[in-house]
Amino acid sequence: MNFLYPAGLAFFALIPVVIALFLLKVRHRTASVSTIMLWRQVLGQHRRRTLFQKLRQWLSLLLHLLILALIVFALARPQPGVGPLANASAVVLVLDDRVAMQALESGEKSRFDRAKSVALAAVESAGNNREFAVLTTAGGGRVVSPFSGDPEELRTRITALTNTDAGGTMEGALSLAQELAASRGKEGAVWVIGAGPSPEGDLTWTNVAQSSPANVAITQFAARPLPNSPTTAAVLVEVANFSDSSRDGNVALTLENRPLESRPFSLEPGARTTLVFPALDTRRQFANARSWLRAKLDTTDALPADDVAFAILPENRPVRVLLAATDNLFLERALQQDPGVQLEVMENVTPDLARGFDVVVFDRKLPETWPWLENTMPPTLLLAAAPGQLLKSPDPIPLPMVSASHASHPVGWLIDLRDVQAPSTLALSPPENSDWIWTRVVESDGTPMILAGAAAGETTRMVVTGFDALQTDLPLRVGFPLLISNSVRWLAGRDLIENVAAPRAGESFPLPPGTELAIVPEKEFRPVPTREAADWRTGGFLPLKAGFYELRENGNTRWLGVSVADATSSDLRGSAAGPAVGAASPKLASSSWTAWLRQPFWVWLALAALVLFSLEWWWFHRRITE
Amino acid sequence: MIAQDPLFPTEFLSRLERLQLMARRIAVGRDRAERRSRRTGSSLEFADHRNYSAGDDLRTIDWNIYGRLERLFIKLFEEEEDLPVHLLVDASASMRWMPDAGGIGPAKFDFARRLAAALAYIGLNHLDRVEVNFFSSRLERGVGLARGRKHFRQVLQYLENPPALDEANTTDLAASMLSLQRQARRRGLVFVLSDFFDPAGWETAAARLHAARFDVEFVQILHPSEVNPGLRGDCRLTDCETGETMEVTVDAAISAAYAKALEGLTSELRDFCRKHGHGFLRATSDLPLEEFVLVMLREGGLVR
Repeated sequence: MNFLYPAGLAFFALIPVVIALFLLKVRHRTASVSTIMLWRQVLGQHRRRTLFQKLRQWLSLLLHLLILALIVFALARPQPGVGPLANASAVVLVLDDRVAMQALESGEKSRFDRAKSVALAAVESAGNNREFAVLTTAGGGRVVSPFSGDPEELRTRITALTNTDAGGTMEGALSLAQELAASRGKEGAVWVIGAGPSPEGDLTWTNVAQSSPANVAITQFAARPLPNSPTTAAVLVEVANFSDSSRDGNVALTLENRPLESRPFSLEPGARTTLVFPALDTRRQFANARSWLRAKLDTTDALPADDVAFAILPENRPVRVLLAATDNLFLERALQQDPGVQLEVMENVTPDLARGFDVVVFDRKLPETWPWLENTMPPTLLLAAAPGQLLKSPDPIPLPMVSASHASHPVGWLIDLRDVQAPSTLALSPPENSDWIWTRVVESDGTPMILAGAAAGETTRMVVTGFDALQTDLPLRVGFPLLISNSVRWLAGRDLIENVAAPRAGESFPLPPGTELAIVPEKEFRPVPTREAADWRTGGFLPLKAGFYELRENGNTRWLGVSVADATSSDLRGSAAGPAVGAASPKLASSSWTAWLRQPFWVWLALAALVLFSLEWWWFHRRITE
Repeated sequence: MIAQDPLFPTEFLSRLERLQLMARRIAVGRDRAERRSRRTGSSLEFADHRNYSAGDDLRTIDWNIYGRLERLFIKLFEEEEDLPVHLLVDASASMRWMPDAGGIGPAKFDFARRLAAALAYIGLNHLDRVEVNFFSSRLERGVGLARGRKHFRQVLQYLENPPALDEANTTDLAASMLSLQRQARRRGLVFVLSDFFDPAGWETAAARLHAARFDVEFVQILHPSEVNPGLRGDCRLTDCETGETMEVTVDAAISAAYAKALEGLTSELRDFCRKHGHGFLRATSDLPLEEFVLVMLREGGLVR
């Protein structure tokens, strides 16, 4: 038991005063009577009652002292022990607000509601000698409130919290919490309130899960263009049964809020099935089409959030490429053969002219004026040429040998240059102290042969190759058109769009240069609301809610579908396996009226004092005043 | 002043003149008066006949019977004598007690003195011999047996000058009645005007009076605040006679028990009187004296 205001205990010095006042109060009313003969006879008959009356005096004094004690304790603001955090003066309260916390167990309360109740009860102990910081776990951790000793502010912030649709792990949030707690030294502690087994680490864990409810979920939802037919796309829906019994149901697919098809499914416990819907025409039917694809289960379970998934029918829009060279037929042919590229060839290219295209390609020649490495620079592919900022030395390096390649980078995807013999390569070197992020896609003994860079915030990109492909046999290989296609698509930001074609809530992703995303998703098919400047994000975005997000790119509106689609989050089995450990967790209430009972401890003390006061008045004073 | 008090007006006195004290037993008087005697005498009330014997007054021979029977009988007439009336007024502290807040009505002592005066007036008006005595822990020297209305002024003076409280504080009914038994040369009617709050009990005193063949009329006088004390809560009670104190927490149950105890005292006294042929009346001091004397005493058979 701790006291927020221990100085309040000094009021116990009033005990002698109370006793003195009591002794003054109990002074009997004196009355002269003609004879006490009859009164003595009466008291002889009521001996027991007389004895009780005498005891009642002392009981009254006892009640007085008890009332004083309760009031003094209430003034001292006692705090019930918070278990292992009893001695912590700085508590980082981590609330798991991921999608699994939306699970409805008993009644109408979700796990997140109960977690908030626990947190609200905990922050009542905030005060002069205890501070709380509040974090949420979705999206790698978010600081809801820095360290504060103001219970009202903490209450307000916790009450305003809403559950997210994000999946993923708590690792980021826990790291952040540990850092915050460590900043307070030994006085800091981490208290995590969530569902499921306790995470590892030096922390206090409270499991608010009361059961392990059954759940059926859409774990994957994606629409991909068919490779052999760019104007058609296939839709894939994966449904999993995270329960201990067989579940039947239907998956309904809608496009633009219109039903397309419904497929039945029957799943054994723990099984999952993949439903592929036939090719859909990706060509827009009308100008303002949103291409909204929605898959929805007709089952009823504890977690409705993962019963619906959102995706966008892929758009078949070609990349507009401006080739500023006319003497490289291999390059020109490779671009022309790419069905996803709309090519324009010009010799004299200016930055203003280039901004009308998605990508500009220079081959062995640099333009006279170009905003190199500036945010206003159009996405640029430089072949066998590089500006001075990227050159360590003007002299080329002879006979480079491919020593390493970055195959996971979109530019280097499926490209193998290990046996390409080039007579020389430029001494490329990414500039230091730059806001750009560079990747050595292919390098030779530490010197990059292909360099890919993106400006901070993904406002523009640049790919530079140090060797002249025409002096090698690369143009005759499959890798050349792949390299060009990869580079063009990466420079145009298509990797971003394609990668986030079916993004999940809670996963951040960069936005292509020149695009901005509305931070509030839409779920209902209704007219798009007017958005203020603050409603848009550029550079990158972390969606925490599932739905359709509006994406603006060079004045054109597109949409992005964000789903829960996280098998780990949807699997609620075993979440209540561990007991609600952590002595800190107050008893959880499951109904609304019991929520009222979770008053601060001092309120109960004050109420007890009031009750005793009434009792004392009823027993003692009322008899005199009646 | 009792006589000049508005509650003791002249009109009331004139109405008292029509009343007569009632004795339940025929007492032996000393002088001729208006009250029947066991002895035959010279009154106009015929009592009996008896044979003439030598020496009898020839005026008492019933010549009508001699004419019919030719035998001499003389007529006997009842003797009318006076009645000794002893008025004993309790002058103890409990009779003079008044509640702290004043309460309703006069003190019991005042009521008792006025009642004694009224009874004395009735007796003196009918040629009874009336004696008035205060008593508390002992029987005080009072106005000796005297007859005649002229004697009433002396009675009033005595009643208006009771003994001081410091001399007569406590109540001792037994001792006082014993003194009466020893002092009274003639038995007669005894009025005991008291609250009967004697810690030693009233039984001994009543038994003595009964054994001495007094015709006793007990009048218990209580103050309204004694009937309904109106006390609540924690009280420290002080006995006005003994100064003893006791602490009591008065609630409804205790109040009811007190009322029951008081009623028990009265009931015992009433039962004693009924059993031994004595009279009993209870009055509260707030009762109008005229109503008590003219109505209640008459209904109780103490006067007619």
